[in-house]
Amino acid sequence: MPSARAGTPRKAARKPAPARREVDYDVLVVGGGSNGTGLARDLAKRGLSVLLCEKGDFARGATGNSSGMIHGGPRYLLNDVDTTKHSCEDSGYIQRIAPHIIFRVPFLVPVESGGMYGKLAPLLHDVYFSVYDRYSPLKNGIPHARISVDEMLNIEPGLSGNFLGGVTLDEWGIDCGRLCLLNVLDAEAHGAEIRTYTEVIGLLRDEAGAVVGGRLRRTGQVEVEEVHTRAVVNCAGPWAEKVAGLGGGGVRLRPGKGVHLIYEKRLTNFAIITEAVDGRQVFVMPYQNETWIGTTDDDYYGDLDDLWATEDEIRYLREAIERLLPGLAQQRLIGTRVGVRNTLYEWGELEDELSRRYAIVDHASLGAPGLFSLAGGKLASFRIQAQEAADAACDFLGVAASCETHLHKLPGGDDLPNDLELARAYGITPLAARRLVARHGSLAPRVLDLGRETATGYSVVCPCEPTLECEVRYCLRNEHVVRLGDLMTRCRIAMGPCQGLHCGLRAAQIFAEERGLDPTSEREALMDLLGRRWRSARPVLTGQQLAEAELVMTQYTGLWQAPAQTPLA
Amino acid sequence: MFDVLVIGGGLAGTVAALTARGRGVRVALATRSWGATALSTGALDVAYSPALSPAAQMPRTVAEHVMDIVAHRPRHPYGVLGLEVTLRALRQGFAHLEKALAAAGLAVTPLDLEAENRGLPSSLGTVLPAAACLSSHAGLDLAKPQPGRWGVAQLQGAAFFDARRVALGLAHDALAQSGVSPALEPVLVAFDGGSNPIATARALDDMATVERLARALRERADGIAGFIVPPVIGLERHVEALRRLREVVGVPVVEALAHLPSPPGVRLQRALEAAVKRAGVELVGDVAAPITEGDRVVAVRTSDALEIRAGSFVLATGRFVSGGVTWTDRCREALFGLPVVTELGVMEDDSPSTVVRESPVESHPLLTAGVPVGRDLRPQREGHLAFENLFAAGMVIGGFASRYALCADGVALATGTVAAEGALAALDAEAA
Amino acid sequence: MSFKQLKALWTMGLALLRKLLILPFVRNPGARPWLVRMRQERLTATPAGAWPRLSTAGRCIGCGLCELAGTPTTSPFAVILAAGRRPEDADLAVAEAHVLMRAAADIARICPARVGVDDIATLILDNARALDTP
Repeated sequence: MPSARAGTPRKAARKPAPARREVDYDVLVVGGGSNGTGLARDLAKRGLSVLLCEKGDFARGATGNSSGMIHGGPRYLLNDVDTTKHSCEDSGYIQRIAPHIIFRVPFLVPVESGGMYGKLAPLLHDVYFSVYDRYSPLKNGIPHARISVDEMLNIEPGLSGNFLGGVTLDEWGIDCGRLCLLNVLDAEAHGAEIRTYTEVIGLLRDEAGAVVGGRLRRTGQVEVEEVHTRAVVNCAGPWAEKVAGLGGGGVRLRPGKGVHLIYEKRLTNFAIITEAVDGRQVFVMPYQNETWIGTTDDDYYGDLDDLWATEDEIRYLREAIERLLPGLAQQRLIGTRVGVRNTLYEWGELEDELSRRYAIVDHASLGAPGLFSLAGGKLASFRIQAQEAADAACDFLGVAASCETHLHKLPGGDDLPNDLELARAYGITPLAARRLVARHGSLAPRVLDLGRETATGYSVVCPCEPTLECEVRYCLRNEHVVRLGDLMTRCRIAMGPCQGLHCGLRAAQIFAEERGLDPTSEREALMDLLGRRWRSARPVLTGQQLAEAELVMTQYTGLWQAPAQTPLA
Repeated sequence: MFDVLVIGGGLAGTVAALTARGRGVRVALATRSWGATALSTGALDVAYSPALSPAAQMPRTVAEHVMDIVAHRPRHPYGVLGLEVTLRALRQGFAHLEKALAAAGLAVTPLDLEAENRGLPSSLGTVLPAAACLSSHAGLDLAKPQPGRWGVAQLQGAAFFDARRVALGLAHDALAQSGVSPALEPVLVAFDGGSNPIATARALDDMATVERLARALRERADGIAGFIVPPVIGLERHVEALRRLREVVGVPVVEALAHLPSPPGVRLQRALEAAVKRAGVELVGDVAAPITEGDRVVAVRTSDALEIRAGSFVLATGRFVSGGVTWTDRCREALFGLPVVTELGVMEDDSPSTVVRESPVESHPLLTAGVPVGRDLRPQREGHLAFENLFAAGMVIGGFASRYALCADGVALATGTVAAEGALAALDAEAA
Repeated sequence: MSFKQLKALWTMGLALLRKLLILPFVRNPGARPWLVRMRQERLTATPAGAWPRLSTAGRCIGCGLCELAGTPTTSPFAVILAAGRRPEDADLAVAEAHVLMRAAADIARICPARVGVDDIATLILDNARALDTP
């Protein structure tokens, strides 16, 4: 049910239609991940009219399940130094435009004895990162350090192994869900139209075979809408091959499944890299108030829309990291993140080496002019990938405007308010203020102003963050929340250890009130939220998280019809 | 040296301890911290199990629901005990509970197994079937048509009880269950509701504060047949507070069943603890490990390294929430290391995904995990008796989950009673 | 091998040479400057003894019973669930940590999950101290 959003932005004037036919938009962008949302923003800022269609919610595919790092690409230093330089540059741009949703991640790289280079290993690492130091200032990086074993164990006493020493460095992490949302909000401010839960199920072709639009269908509905556009850009990530297929093919991917495991708090401030049994690099890393370990990379041939972490993947990661940090074995797992990388297909090469490459495919050579695909790539280079795709589209459309996405801040990126002042001004806890600023940046006061509307405006909805009621309402009104589960990436409802025990009910009530839902729809909304958490938690439902699940299940008895009555096997 | 040592102080353990003590023997109760009982809603769930076979008649009375469970779920404790024993033990266990709670000042409704489940309003906006409840939740049965307008009280700022949504939800469920839509409306009450139910309940232990709430409710009582309020009417002095409130307001005041955190759960747990003390049961601390000799449990060692010997033992340690059953490397009963079963049988526990279904609304075998028991409630290990003198009660027993048959309290009452009887019989047998 | 790869290896090789030449003359400053810089951004080392505490500290299942041990100004629930989840927020919870420490015994009697409340308090205080120490 569509909601009335405050402050619907004014649409920029549409370009005059070409003589031949009417168009609804200049460009249809398919996919709401980092590529699609980044592209929509870029094109909208260049003055084109854009429609972005995402079949689920933003960042639901590769982006939202990535490692969330805007790194500078140190691994490319042995292949192509320029790649590293450009990566650092671009990481710098992203920091500048989104200072509120990024955070510095310090790394420890333990150098273990018995490796290929023997006792020289620490020195070689030192040299390697001294070269990285030349480029990392482009992304506000701090010069690395070569540290002794004692120093390393003082920094992270949980480390276990035979070490020769270590190096430190730092990278940047980003809130991927909010990144996509902010791209979209900025695109809208420049006149773009954004539709989630809308799948592009077909492309419109004219007699000459040119792609002149798309056929759209909202999730759960039967009606198909046709929109006419001058160009279509396929940014569907892991689904890009499928979408390209709607236009006759032209993208071949080698989908790689990647799993992270989530622990319920930040166990260490440091990201630590080690090797798994098969020689792959795996890591533990802090992410906001969680800790992740990851990741796997296996060719995936299954259903992209039905991903589960497997027992093998869980065991692989745990064994690898627990060797380095034995204390992890006793920590509380609360869930899993499972995504599929949209890696370009090149038969035979090892999975890890294919990673960064991306391609802008012009389907004109394949008989479908007007269709472009942005395939492959990484989160860290989303902006430059989108820029090149936008350049290609603009060339095709005869538009001269150039990219400005690196020049202007995303919404909320202006001067960040001080948490303590904000807390005092609105009567909330400093921690709540801090977490709010980390999501909304300079817009935090606007979010908090909403709290004055109701007597419960500053009450805590999700105690794990904490997330306040006014933020939930703000997100519902302004941030494209269609299903209750979308709130997870907007304001981190149900992401903590309680997994919806408290916030689920309250969030559903607020959602129902804001949208005018009846009790049945309210309960369905809650089920959507709990279902999403269940997908994450089920593979690791042991330990205390099992106790949590027991409590959640018992508390919500009665919310969905009668108690479950699945017949016994 | 004790005759019977009960491990676990929730509803099942308390009923077992009181039953044993009723025979005059020396009973000790070992407790660690609170568990599921302190988190209960205020309802006393005995049995609500919609028919499993499509052709079957929908069970009506509580006893019929019990029959339905016995017939269709043989691994459920009711099935293991059999219908006759279950019904008898339910009545006996409830009688003990009623008496014990009354002495501790907390009233419960009667348990009439030949009546239908009541439909109680919950703080989630659902109408939950329950066989009995703490008295503060009685007075409005939404499973039956209800005349008159009832007000759902919105205390100012009480985000934990959204009267508007609760009223909508209750009306929706009541229509489905009774066929009639009740007149339920949110009523804004000029009283600061506080930020969490526990804090508000503690504040309402002060009678002056209760008076203020009562007057605020009375102001809005015109044309109202009764009020549904959040379950925060006092904690320690709940009974007095509720009486005062009802006197001043003049119309019925019914507490909704609680979600978490639950003041009614706290009241129930504290009343059980008072009852146990009053009955002369000795309280000992946390059990760290059992001490066994062959097929007998001879003693337990507490966390303070004390050794406590007893003739019979009752294991009432609960399931996952309280840590009676845990899954570290494998899923096990925590104290004796006994293997567990689910309602489907022996559990394949290599990975949670094999015993947990893909959608949360389905019935999950893992959530029914616990020790397998025989008719006399003695835990079994690989088909044999684990110990001669060990009995199990409550949620540590496998084969059921409260969510799937709204039966947790009934299981506690029935198995607590039968486990105690078994423990006493084992004493007699040993003496002989 | 491509030209780019050659260039990369050349760069790395030169860097190695440079390192070897200056090594005898330049002392390795070690971790300290880097740690100072990180601490400016509120990223501190993991306190000694943290790991065993982290596991008991992480047991909370959110039942809310610990509110019974709360005061009008401190909600143990809020501290246990939120305040202890990032070391960099420890400075905001020092007063609460002391309240938790005093309430730990009371909470131990009622917490179904047997959360290490004193461990949470200790972690907060240790992390706050690390944030404070230059």
